[in-house]
Amino acid sequence: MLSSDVMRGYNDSIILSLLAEGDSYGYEISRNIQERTGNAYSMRETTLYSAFNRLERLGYVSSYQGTETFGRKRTYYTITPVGRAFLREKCEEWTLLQQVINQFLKEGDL
Amino acid sequence: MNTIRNYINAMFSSLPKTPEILRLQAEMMENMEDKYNDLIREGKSEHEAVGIILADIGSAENLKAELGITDTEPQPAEDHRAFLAQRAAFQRKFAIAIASGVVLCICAIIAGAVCDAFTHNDAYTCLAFFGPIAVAVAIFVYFGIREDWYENRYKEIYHEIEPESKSFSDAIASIIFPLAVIIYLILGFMFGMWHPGWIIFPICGLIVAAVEAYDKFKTQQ
Repeated sequence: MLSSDVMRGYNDSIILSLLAEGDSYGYEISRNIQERTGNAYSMRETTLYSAFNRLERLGYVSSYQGTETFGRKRTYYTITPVGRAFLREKCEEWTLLQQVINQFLKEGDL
Repeated sequence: MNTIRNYINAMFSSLPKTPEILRLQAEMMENMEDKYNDLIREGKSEHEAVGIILADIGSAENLKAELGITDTEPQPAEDHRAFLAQRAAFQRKFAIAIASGVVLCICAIIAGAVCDAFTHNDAYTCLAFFGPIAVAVAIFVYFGIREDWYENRYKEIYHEIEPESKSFSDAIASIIFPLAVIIYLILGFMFGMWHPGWIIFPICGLIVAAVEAYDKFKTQQ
């Protein structure tokens, strides 16, 4: 289980990357994160929903009300072009970051 | 599900109620319901489902940190909130108590007069008059002390600056009225001077008012 401290800088990117695959809503996203990481990371709800709030304010995502099978309304999020551009940037940054960190932290070095 | 709802409500209770935050709260509520239903479908018991959800949610501190909310004014801590509720409840009781005390005093005068008219017995009249008065005084003293306690505690919590020292007129008033009561009772019981004796109270009132006026005059200068 990764600590929320380590993941802090990546939460927004993770959410955006999932939204880049298709519109989604809070619970689906949190379930997706858990499933894909095999429970290695589970984003706190407070983190997730305040991230939505922040991303929307920044214009990276936009929300709309959708209805689900039971007719209950639900807030869906969709990634905006600005959000996609930001995500691309973060991907490049991540590649670079990996290279940099890999220069120092190598398994079996110790 | 109620536990979860209460938890979320409690978590948001210390946040400003902007439309944005209210939406966030509603959204979280919706999604937690989905999660709950899912967990139940997976065969978890209600307790387990609630436990899992509460463990994943995070705390009010998380939420504030994530939203970048810094407390502009110090939020009263939990026990302070309880205290404030108590104080509010007490203030209602206090008002009722003082009102009933005043009513008792009025009743005492009427009861005394009535008793005097019908029995012409000084002892009964005294009893009829001082009985309700004694109860009223007991109420005033008891509630006065409690009120004082609440106010002091309130000032402690909110660091309100207390007036440097009690003003001169307050000091005078706190001595003069009990003194007046004692003198009045002595005059009444020992010399039967109830009638002209009462004049002592308006005189005391005048003295205190005069001192107060002088106090104000001095501080203004």
